[in-house]
Amino acid sequence: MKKISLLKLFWIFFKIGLVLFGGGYAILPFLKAEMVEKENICTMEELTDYYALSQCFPGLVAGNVSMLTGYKARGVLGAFSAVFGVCLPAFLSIAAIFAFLSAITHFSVVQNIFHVLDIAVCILIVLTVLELWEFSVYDKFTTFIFIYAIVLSIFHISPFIVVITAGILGLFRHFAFPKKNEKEKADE
Amino acid sequence: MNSIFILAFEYMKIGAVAIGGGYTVIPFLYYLVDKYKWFNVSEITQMIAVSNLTPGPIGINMATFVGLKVGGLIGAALTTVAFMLPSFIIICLLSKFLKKNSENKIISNIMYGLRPAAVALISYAGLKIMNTTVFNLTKFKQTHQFFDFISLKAFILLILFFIAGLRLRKNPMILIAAAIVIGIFFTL
Repeated sequence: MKKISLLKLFWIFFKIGLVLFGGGYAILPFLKAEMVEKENICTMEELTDYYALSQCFPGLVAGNVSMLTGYKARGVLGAFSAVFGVCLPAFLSIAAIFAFLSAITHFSVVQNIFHVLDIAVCILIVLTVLELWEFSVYDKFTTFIFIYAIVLSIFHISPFIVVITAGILGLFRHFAFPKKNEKEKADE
Repeated sequence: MNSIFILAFEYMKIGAVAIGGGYTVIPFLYYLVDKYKWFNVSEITQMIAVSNLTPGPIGINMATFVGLKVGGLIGAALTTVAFMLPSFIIICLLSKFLKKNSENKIISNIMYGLRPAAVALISYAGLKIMNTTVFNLTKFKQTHQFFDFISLKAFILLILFFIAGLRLRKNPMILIAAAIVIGIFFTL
């Protein structure tokens, strides 16, 4: 892992903050392109862990993922640069349009752009899922957890509970079937 | 001036307890309306709409918005910083802990359960957006008309974005830029 400057870290996350529409869910493909492929700061596995952890700690998912990635790169200052960068566009855009706000949202063109953006965000999420699939859902147990988590989400169970119970189940499986687990690890 | 500090403190409390992203902040906004009368309920709806239209994490958009309403630019800056502070501290402590214990068996087994759950949560987020932009299950249940269930134009865009997305994996930002341009010229 090479060392990245704080300014560059800020700039990368500022760019990501600019294109982040529809909440933090679509942040992963951007982080992957910038932090995994271009800068080699972390692996895709780590990024997935960060994403899962971000859901069970207070704060915004996009903010938490950015801080975890930033911390991996440059410690506390890195976490600060990352979260400052990812939040600044959100702050500036609201500050800029605050005065003529109600006028903007009534333009049909604006609503249309938003609609098309939603479809693009869908695809970003689909691509993320395809990407994560191979090292996250690969045996009976992980398939079970995947289905379990989807079903819970459909019934509007809080993601907090989904993630915590999934972690506990992972741990439980380790103690309940220790040998099986080790064999699989050797196969990898 | 005093209300700025009260708001910042209230927002810091929200930042310390809101788990699972921007939308979990919304119930707290209603609580603020009840307690302080800084803004009214219809302004919350407007806030959510505008936050969806602007780039960046939705929670930051809303914090900036509330801050501007109560105390101008300084209020907005103070509110957003106060909002992020608790999660910043928590994530830094968490990162430190993870760094020390990354080879730990218990941690790796928790992650083994967490990853498929994270993939499921992301999939569910995608399904939710798809259900309002491309498909509309609620409307279909009422009318039983096929074209109420699926928006053909949106579906074609979805396919096109998917093909483009597969080719643009290294540069997902282009997809967002393209979506904005298409949104200006092509009415859904």
